[in-house]
Amino acid sequence: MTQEKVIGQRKPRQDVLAKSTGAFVYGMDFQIPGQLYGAILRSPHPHALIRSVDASRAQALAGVEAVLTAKDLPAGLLMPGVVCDQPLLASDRARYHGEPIAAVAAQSPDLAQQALGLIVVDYQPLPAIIDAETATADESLLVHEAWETYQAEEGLVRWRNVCCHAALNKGDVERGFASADEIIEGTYTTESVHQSHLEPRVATAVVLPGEVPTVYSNTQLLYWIRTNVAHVLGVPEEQVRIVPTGIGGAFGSKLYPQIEPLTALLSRVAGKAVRMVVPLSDELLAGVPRHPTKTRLKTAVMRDGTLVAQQATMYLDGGAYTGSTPEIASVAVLCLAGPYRTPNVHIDVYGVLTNKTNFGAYRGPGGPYSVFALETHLDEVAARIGMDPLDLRLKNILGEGDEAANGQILTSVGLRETVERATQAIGWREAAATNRGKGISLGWWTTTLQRSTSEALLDANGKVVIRVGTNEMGTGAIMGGVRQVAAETMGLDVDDVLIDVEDTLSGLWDWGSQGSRTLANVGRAAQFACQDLRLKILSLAEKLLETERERLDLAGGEVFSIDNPEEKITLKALAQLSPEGILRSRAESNAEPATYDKSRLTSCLYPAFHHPSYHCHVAEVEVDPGTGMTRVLRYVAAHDIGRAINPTLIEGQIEGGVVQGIGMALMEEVLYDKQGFRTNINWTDYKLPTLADMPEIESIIVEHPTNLGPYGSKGLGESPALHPPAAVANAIGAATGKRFRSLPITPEKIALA
Amino acid sequence: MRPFEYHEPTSIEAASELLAEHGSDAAALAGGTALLIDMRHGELQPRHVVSLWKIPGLGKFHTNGGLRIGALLTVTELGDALRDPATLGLREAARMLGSWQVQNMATVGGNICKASPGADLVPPLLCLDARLSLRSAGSEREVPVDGFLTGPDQTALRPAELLVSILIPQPPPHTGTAFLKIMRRQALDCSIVSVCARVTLEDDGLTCKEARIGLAAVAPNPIRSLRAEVALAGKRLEDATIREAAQLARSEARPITDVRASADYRSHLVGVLLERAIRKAADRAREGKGN
Amino acid sequence: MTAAMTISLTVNGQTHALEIEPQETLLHVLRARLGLTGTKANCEEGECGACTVLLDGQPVNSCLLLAVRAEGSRIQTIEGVAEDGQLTPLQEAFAAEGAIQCGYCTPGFLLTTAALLSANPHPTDEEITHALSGNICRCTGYTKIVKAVRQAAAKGVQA
Repeated sequence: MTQEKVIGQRKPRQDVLAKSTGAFVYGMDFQIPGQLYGAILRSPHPHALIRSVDASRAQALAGVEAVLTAKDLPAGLLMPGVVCDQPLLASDRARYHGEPIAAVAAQSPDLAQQALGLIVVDYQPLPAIIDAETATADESLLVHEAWETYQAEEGLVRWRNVCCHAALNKGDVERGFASADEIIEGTYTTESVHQSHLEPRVATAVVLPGEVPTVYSNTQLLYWIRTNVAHVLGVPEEQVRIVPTGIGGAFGSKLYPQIEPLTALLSRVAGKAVRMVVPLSDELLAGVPRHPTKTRLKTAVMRDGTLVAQQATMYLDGGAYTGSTPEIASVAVLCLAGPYRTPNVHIDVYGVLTNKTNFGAYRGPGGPYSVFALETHLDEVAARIGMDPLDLRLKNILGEGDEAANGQILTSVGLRETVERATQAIGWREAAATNRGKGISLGWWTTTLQRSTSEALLDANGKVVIRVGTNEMGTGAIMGGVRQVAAETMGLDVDDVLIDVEDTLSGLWDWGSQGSRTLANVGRAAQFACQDLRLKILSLAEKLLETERERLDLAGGEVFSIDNPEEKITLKALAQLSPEGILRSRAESNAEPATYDKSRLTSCLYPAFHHPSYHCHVAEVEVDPGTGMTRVLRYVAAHDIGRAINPTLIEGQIEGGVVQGIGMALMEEVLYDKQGFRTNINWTDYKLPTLADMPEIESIIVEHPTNLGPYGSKGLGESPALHPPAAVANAIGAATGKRFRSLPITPEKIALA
Repeated sequence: MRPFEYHEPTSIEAASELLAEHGSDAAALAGGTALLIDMRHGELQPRHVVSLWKIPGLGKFHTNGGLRIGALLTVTELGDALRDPATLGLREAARMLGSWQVQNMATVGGNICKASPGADLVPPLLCLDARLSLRSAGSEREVPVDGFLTGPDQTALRPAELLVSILIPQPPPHTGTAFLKIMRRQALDCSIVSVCARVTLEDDGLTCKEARIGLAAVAPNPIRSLRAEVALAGKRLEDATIREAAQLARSEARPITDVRASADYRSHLVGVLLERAIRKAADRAREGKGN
Repeated sequence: MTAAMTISLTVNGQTHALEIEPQETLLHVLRARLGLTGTKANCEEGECGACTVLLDGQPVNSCLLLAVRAEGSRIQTIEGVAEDGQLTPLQEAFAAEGAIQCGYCTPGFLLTTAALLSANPHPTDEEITHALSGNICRCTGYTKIVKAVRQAAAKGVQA
């Protein structure tokens, strides 16, 4: 086996130079001369009937060139989704504080705001449904009175305010409880947290007669934006062009078509380009943050630490529309089961509609709150039987070839190694000083699949260009990882490979930069395309060098004869001699999903973790008993990612995810008051971790390769965010002797406990 | 932000006249870190903004038997100028105000006159018996900072009057100050509670001759705790004395519950933080060393 | 009711005469009137530091500074850091150390760090924390940013 040249190396990314000089163009920097400025009028009520909307004075304001209300849209227009229940603009009812009611486009941002102020809406406020658990009751008010009429994906179990009931059953929990030595119960709650990407959400639409409808967007999923824009414009998807702009952070938030369809319609009405920026206050008011949750866990354990039965009931507060909640509920099922051998498991996750913003995908959707519940609960289980939390884990975790709770068989299982190395690195067995404690969390996570398409071509200078259909959002997966994979496959250094992110007219269909899938799937497609391109290059070289293809190799930018290396030709010369012009090759990755036992799951849209990654985090904290302030001193994170393509990128994901997770653990919360109004809609009152809040983080890379991503790699982007709330909560428990079952664990909660 | 007319007077008199002419339609611009946010949110909509930056002499710092701090001295400049154990509490408050960027823009005068309940610089200024030099076109007066703040966002400034400098009398020998601030995270936040303690020791280095206690974010404006100060004066600083003083300060605090914290937690923090601040101030008074 | 005024701003060594309205912030003037989009915008309330520029060598939040107030000062933005396309050692350290992911916070961090190291070439951890806590990063978890800063300080790099 040849030694790899660039895989595993800390190679530079293609985009960092431009980012270090201010030259890089983000969505926020992209403007079109003559553009109009779009703005959205949002519901000031959490729940209200809309009796009338009068936009005539806004229409009449000089400089306003488009106004949209529900009556300007096709009647009954609902947006695509697992359940089609969401309008583009609210018509007869506003269902959350901040829901879009109307949109305008005007010649200046100030005029647009003025126009919004002239739209008169007659609301009749209604009581708001704000508690997910009580919203499941038969006597609860309905968020959607017409829920039965909506088109929904087959197999989805839903009723009234429950938009999805995902369930897993393995064995017989009642029998398990009957046979156990100890039964431990607990209820765990978490608040919503917001992605808070530094760059706002921005889209610029150009929908002019006779031209391809075009939207420039800083989205992380071009093709889903295309689907939604095409849907509202009433044109085939292939005729819509979504163009990627630079992205300043996304974390799941920029998967959603929050503004592109509206901006496209405004542009069509106005006959001009329309640019819309979502101001931070609106993004915090009515974005797509993480689901709030309440989870009840009941575990049966033997005195020797064997987990015998586990029952979990989770209420996943989904907000006003179904959105991604069913899929996320399904992921939560798998996270609540955890990578454990427990023979009897019953899990119910209820995705519940309430009068709040649509909660949705934020780095590891379904994950951190499930892991928080399970892993802090397991510490309580360990305490009950007087066992070290680490030993309880080691006794029950799954290994190579074992079956997970959903029946999938696990391979490339690096879990035990992550646990051993992480606990070793932090000195788990060493006694902690006063007011200090260590906490552990471990788990498994998916590498999302679906299709990615890539094209590799050899340009006239002998450089390889890799064209992809999804954008770099900051992780380095595209501009770093995919580039390295392509370089390795083509025998080049990274500087000779150029990554080009294409708009949707390229047809390079891609399920996007999300779900820990990017490097594995886009990299795989690129690798296939490069392998094909390599064959074409060698076939051409065969003719040019008059040597059999099998006796030729490609390295260092040259094709050469293995038997006589002086017989060679540079890629540049070869490219220029190509009779068919530019050599290119297009390939697709659409890997097989993991198989599992269907009989154990109901209404689970994400039923298995594909090529799972495994991870273990350990945090050491110091708690000031007087003020309750927690300082995370040291943090060790071990991740089995199959194969490390670039350690710098891996560490970057781990460190970034850990600090986001510390935010969720200690300080971040999206607050709704008792009437359903959002209260903290700026970064003054939604606290993000600063540099002063950062611990010393040690990243440990574990490699148990799998046959998915290039060179055996598995996904990574999300898993680092799964564990900090649990690890930190467990550490606080060890430091203070008190358990905290709700997030965030603020200094106030600790001081007054 | 609503458009406004911008003025750059070159003297205190001219500034004062502009403020008199436009009354509540005018706002004075110092650092702008609070004003611009209020204007962007529509809480303040002045038609006239009167910049103070072309007025000579407002940004100076003199040490000559005490400190004379120009109202437009930035928070960074203030922090950088203070090294004495007696004024370290004020330096600590300066360095914990907002961020470095904000400290470079915000001014000492602005922090006082904005009169936030949690104004970071005020507890140390209370502890140091600071006085304020106020001027208008026709008058000059000097008032103690204690009593100058009359409610949230309210001061005793008369119409068309400007704060021009802050005077800190020479602290007595064996004086130390210490400032502590608790936030929702480790940096860049308004106070949940902040406290400053000043201890002046007798020559024996053990007996507190005199103390000052300043608290912020536990009342409509930062306050002193006279009961705590009296409890410390003339006493040896033993644990029980310090604890009693801290609890007396708690009794004088009137915290509320808001988005940042509950009243209970704030009250609790006063006790915890003050004990620490008193000890630290006493250590500084004893050691007489710089930072 | 607007009252346009002409001001002169010196940005990255070049002086510009601009007609502006008094309520325009320096951030807006840099991005919209001078086309210098390297300085970034979002929170507009001094909470994120993405809009940081150097004013006479000191980092400030340009979203909270009226443009007219910057008249007569030396303004430096990220575009004025590299000379003739040559990256500074600090920019190279950030790029090489993985301190840049999405990069939106990077201009702010680079300028604040340059100001720190100019005034204090060998800052302690406490001084680094004090200087950089006003710059929020959501991607990197700060670890590699601090590493790049420490490395630059160790090499005696000032910008």
